[in-house]
Amino acid sequence: MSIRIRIIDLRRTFVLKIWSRDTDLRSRQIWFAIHPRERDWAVVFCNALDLLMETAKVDRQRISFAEGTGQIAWQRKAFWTIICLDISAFSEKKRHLLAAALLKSARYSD
Amino acid sequence: MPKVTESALVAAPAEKIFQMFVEPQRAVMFVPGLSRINNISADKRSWDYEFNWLGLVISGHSECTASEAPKRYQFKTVTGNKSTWTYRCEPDGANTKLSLEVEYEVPQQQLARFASETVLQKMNQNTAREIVSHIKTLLEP
Repeated sequence: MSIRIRIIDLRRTFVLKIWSRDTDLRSRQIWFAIHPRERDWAVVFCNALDLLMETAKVDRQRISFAEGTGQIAWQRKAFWTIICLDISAFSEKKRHLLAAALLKSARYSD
Repeated sequence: MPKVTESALVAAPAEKIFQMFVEPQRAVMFVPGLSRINNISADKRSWDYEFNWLGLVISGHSECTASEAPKRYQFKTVTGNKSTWTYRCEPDGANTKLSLEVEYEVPQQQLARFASETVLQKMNQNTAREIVSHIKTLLEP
């Protein structure tokens, strides 16, 4: 068997980090996602948090995790979504890793 | 086959660390560049993977070859240049020594071999270091 190489990933969702701010205790990011088809962000982020071994609680267009110290909220339109991530627990390294893993899920999960 | 190894002391029980490996999809959360795990078999012993590398999508197939909870987990990439990845968890007091060993094939074609041997060694060493560091970060408070 051989590996397969593709130049374009048609399944990928275009998600751009448009703002971020870090302090010693808190990390916040805003992402802008463009999607030709509707995306169920609650499912995307709950699956990712489950893989990260974090318990998630969904409330309409908002998910809390890490006992409420982590929040993901989104405003969805037909073809685009603004997503806000706010984590005020853990080390800075862990916050960055969680944010990167959640961003990866937003981009690549089906 | 050449190999690289990395290890770290993780403040978590071996059973919890092992949980990171037995669910193949979880690897997306801590392996740099790994974007998707698909077509996981019912027994979770084989799956397809996709790496996103500088915009290129590289996909292939992997098979689990050993799962001895909570001590050793091993899988092989069976497409392209083959590689074997072995995670080991050894209790060390209240902590666990996590190690990752990656054995990999170097391309047989001489020019490709000359060009890629050092690069592959460095890439695999860096990847192993990042993976171990990410698992430690995710599992510690």
